[in-house]
Amino acid sequence: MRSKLMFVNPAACAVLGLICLVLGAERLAAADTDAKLKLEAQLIWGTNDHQSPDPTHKPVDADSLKKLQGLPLKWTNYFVVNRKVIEVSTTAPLKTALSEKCEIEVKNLGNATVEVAYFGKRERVVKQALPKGETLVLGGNAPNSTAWLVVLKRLE
Amino acid sequence: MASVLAEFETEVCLPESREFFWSKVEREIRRESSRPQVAPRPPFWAGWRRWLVPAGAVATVALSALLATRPGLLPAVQADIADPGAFTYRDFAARTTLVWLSYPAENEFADNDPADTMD
Repeated sequence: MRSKLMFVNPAACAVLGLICLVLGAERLAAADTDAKLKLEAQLIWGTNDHQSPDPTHKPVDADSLKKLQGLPLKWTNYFVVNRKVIEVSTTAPLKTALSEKCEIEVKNLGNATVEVAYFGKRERVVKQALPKGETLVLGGNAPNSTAWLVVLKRLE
Repeated sequence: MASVLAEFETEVCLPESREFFWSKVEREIRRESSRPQVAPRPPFWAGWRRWLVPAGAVATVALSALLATRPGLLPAVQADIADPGAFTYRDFAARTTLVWLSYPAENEFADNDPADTMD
């Protein structure tokens, strides 16, 4: 037994281990590619007013507020206009309306990467890696020096 | 007890002269010092080092190549935007990316009725 073990080449062991590592990483990547992405999409209105003119608008949750306040935005108050949880597979993009005049289409490109198309008056497309815990914020100017924001957070 | 110890404190008598005894000791010391030093046996892992160093280098290169060719394994933090009127800001601590579309205000998701601005 000892004599057989003496003929085991350490380099061969290292290469074998490396192959296992690569295959394992490939499997993990493949699993991630095939997985559905669970995302939270929020349409948010940014303003310096303390109250929204629409009573159905609720202030954003503390986590989202902290993230938004960490961004170089001039607004102090943010109100949730709409919130949706969506699941996007790699097979088909998902188009969802966050309001009558705001739609987004999310494509799961695999490898935890999404392509978000925002449909306002014109279509704008953003491609972004979105690992778990990452947040993507799309924003623009709204009337009366306010802002619209689409906050896309990966849940799973 | 004292008597027992006393018995062992008797003088040791050599069967040879003092000079002859010490010359033997000297010769032995000289012989030991002139003997070629045997190198200490290397540890068992020393032989592996000649294999592990190149294998580790190969593994590092292969892993780097793997990470470079699989973008999904590295966190891409830069948004890919085709829109020239947009800019991005990345807050690494909060793991948040802002894509700001810097166009004049469009009432894209609002009607003109101020009482119903957002819907």
